[in-house]
Amino acid sequence: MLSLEFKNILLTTQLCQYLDPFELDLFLEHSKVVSFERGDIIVAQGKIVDGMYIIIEGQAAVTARILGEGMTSLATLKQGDLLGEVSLIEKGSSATSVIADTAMSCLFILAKYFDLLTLFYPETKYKINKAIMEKVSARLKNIHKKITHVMNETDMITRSVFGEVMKSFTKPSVIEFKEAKLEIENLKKIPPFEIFREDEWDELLRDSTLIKTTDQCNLIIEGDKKPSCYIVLRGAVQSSIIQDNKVAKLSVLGPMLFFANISIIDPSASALINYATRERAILLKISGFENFSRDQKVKELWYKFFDIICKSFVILERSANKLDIRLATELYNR
Amino acid sequence: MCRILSYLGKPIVVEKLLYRPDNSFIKQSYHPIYMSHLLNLAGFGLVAWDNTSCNPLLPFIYKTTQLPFYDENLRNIACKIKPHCFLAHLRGVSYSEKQVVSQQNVHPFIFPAVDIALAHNGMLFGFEHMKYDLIEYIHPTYRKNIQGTTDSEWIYAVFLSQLINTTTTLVTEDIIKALIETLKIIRDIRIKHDLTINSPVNLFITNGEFIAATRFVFDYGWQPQDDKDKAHHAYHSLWYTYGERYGFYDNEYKMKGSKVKSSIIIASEPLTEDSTTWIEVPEYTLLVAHLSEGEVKIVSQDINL
Repeated sequence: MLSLEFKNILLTTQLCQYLDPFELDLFLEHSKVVSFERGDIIVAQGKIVDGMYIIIEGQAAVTARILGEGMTSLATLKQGDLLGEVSLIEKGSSATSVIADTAMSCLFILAKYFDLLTLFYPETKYKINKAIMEKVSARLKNIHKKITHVMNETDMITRSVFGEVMKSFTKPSVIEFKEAKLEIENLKKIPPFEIFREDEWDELLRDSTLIKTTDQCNLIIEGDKKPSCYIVLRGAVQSSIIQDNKVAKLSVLGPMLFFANISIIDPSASALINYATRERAILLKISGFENFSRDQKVKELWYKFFDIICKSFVILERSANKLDIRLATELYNR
Repeated sequence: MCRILSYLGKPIVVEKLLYRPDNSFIKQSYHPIYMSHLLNLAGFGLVAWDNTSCNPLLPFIYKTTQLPFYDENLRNIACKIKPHCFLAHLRGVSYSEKQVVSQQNVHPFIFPAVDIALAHNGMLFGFEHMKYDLIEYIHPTYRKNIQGTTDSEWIYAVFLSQLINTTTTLVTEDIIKALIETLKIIRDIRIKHDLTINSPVNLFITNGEFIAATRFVFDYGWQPQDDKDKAHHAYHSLWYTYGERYGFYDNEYKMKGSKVKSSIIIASEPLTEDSTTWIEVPEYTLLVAHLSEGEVKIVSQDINL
């Protein structure tokens, strides 16, 4: 059982500000207090992180062996900070190490307990996801700023004006669902989309449209404020950062992958990343999701949908970090 | 689907890369982490350059259709040779009696009197419709050297034919130009035959002085409706790591960090389960690494055909 003092510290954290007293108790019930001595490795780079820590006492150093730079000190975490939070959304190995700078006490929740919340308390999981996305969004903005600064400073080749003019004329056309029936049926069976029930699929598809495009068609442009999201059914979409007419590519999204504008998780933000087709493509443009969060009848659908959104941004953050390293190690597009 | 490993830098005992790390190259033949639904059992090949050997411009070549994890000769040789550059390939083909498993089909390909080798991870869909159109783009000298049945050997011949001269020192621009030209030729022949199905072309090219690698797919995301050959539907991976030298440091195999980066590994997948000090090369990218005054320089560019 947590002491009142610890509980009061927890209440000041960003995460707990999203939760009501019942949810906070629920969260604490499934967490445990773990202690570390100075110098203990809490999270090791390259190892799987199996849960999230909230620091309730002490501080820790975040370091990483970065390609081309060696061991690098990245940040100091203090009381109230989260670590390993991304493991609640996307399983994977940690890109950094976290080492206790002082004696520490942390609250720890196993990722598998968090998964169970989906079954019994989806709203609580949604609120925790929202708190984590706030952090991811802030980090994405920072890394975007860093990357665009590097792009400004380097003599990367610039885009051809002709190509950009052609791109602006390339518009997607709407196609009938029967034309891509097979892909939609396949999509329903593939993770993470297999979580939706048939009635939820009906709801998802009700206002959505199927679009067909040629190569080099802009779908989300940096600065777009309107939340929008897509699933690639056939072909591929390229995500990239554009600065000063220079392009730095992040990654390619192939069939059955989801992407969205950042304003879907952070209404104050406009799109940081450009998405354009890299091959001819068929996409599902999901519309009407703004209503999912408001309509009590489809709240559960919204929570599931938000899970998918969160995963896509965690993956995007990894791609952005990778691009940051590449710009430092390679003579890219010079 | 295949696996490729390449190295350029300080001389290294090949065993350190082929056998030692927890996701070693040989382990990738029977237990690959990525795309594990197809094993890489249809041949192993290695070309290696050692400046201290006799005739240093000529690489050491070893090819076998034997399973590499049962190959005692390979293990013995790997413990002895210490090249500064090498390219190794594990061939993975679909489990079908129609596949030709022979030494002539084992990569890397290196024609007589040419010191440039190529290995390929991928497959050109509908290659049987394309190959006679490719002849037009292959120099007569190279046509007669094609011995096997793979699309990769034909790509190699087309690539060599795009190089103005294979005997003089090649600069990065020559390699990039010839590689892009090769991909454009393949693209045009695909268009001619209305071939629009997903076809990965991860190429590794080296002459002992540079390594060039592509991560590229024609018509990515357009699988055939019958969905038979799933191995070639994903975007084949490509990774690299670089540093002073590769070895066992702090209880793990990794590149030793240093201000001067004098060694690079470019491979289909990381050699260790911990991939945090490796960088995955993005899709549609061409990467060229060469040594300049003992330091690795990496040039990369987007492939826009």
